[in-house]
Amino acid sequence: MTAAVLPRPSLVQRLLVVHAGDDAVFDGKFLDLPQWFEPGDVLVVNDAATLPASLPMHVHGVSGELRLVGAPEEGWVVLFGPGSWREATEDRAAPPSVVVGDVVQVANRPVPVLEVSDISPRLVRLALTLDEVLVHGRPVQYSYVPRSLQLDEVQTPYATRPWATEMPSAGRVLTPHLVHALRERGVRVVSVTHGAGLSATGDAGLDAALPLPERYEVPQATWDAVTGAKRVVAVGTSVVRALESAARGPLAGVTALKIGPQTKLSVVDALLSGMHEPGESHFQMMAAFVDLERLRRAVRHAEQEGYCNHEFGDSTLLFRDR
Amino acid sequence: MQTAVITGVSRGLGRAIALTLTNHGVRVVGIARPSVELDGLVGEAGPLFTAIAADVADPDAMVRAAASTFAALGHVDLLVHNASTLGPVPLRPTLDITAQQLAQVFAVNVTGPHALTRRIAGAMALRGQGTVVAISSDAAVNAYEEWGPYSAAKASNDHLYRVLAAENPTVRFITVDPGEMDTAMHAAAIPEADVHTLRKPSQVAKALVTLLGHAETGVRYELEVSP
Ligand SMILES: NC(=O)c1ccc[n+]([C@@H]2O[C@H](COP(=O)([O-])OP(=O)(O)OC[C@H]3O[C@@H](n4cnc5c(N)ncnc54)[C@H](OP(=O)(O)O)[C@@H]3O)[C@@H](O)[C@H]2O)c1
Repeated sequence: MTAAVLPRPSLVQRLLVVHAGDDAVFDGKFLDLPQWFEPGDVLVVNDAATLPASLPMHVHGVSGELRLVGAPEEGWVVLFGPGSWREATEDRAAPPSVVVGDVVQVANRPVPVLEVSDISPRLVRLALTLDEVLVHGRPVQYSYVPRSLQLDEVQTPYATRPWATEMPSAGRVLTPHLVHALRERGVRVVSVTHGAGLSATGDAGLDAALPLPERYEVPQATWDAVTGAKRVVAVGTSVVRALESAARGPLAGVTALKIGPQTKLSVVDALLSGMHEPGESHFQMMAAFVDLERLRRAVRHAEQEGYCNHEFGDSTLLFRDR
Repeated sequence: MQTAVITGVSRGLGRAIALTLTNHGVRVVGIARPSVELDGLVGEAGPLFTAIAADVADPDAMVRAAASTFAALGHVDLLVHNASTLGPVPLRPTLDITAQQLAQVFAVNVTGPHALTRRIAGAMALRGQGTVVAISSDAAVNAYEEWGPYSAAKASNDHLYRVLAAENPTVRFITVDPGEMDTAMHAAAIPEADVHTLRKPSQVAKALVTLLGHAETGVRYELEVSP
């Protein structure tokens, strides 16, 4: 699939609709999203704002980059070696290895390494603050994007608390205008906050462990709306993770739940997401809605029809069988 | 109302609005460039107040300020765009104003603030409630000699808010002319003014809070302040 390399307006966004029990797929426009829903349906968005989660760092004589995994105060970061975001993460040189007690200069402040993860020696814990991240950080960049992205460009229209380290991109083009149109149709639109984490690090061991545990919060009012819904539509894979975690545990906390083809979904009936391909963890999650064979066919169709993928790409709407 | 964001809180009307709201038990985030006055307000306004040092003319700084704001407040009920600049003082004929000077006045009064509005009003639209206020001026409607950049920026912002109101039925967008006040800005514009004829920012702030109880979206208000 070809990548959409820069932010695009909802006007040009395409929507591929796939039903679990139907061989036919539908090519539509994102702006026509409301027509797929009925009064009583509840659409749930992730209102996490995207942090400027990438900071310059210097350790053992090497200048590199660190990317936050979750909340700055929790301090888990992935270290990247020299080079820049213009190179694909898997082509970047590895950072020097560090041990507990080593000092990393983060934006010119010495910060000690508190912990090194078993998952990967590049996954370490430092003590950072939200303030320093907001002052010195910039958004995680993508090598397929021809210029550096501004923080404003990686936010959803309704973003609030800065919890996500990469943009919850499924809702990027869900404008206030569309939200209003959905509500006029009798669809409720409510929110959760989910700290969506890094999508890829280029480190095979680490990427195999994704998604790492992430914090989430489902407000009681949202949970009430969800339990009373005709159908529940998650805007983004992070919302599926938050709602299915809430169904299995507390309404707020940290979740390690992984969702794949074998997962029996208990609350979410449909997923609005980007275009994902076999091999991505998001594709695995999609398979909880629509079986793998049908998904692969949908991907082939999307390729033939010229759909675009990645953060600024087109959208897929998947309905599971009930 | 539980939470509010006010720009230009280091002195004048913005400071008075911040103090009035914290006295009403509202949690307030106040934005101004770094100064001892801003630090002083942190002590005076107490624990309900959080200061963010940022330049409203810088759109990227406003996006970061929005993130800090939501981290501190969770949600925002009221946003007041009060920070403003006249441009070069003493005021001078518009043909003596360079394009760069004009652009800077628009950056402080219109374009930088819009970056903050975008980030905050979008969340208000999702919640289906919230109020965004821009402080206007009578210079937005009257063509006073030597007030070119400021009055053009204020007039342009008034109109921007009428359009925002038309586009967003669930968020209230209003503009408010506070009338002439005894502040540093007034002294810089009209040094010869008799300050006894000017309103006190604290009175104006109270009148603004009262107005918010009944104001309707898309309307430009002129504040009534009883002496
Ligand atoms: N005074 C009047 O008679 C009068 C009449 C009509 C309308 N108004 C309007 O009322 C509002 C308040 O005016 P005022 O008289 O209280 O003005 P003021 O005393 O000059 O205060 C202006 C405030 O805005 C802040 N500010 C200016 N530029 C900024 C920037 N780039 N970034 C962040 N903050 C900035 C200042 O803080 P820092 O400089 O510390 O950053 C200060 O806190 C303004 O919108 C003004 O246009 C005033």
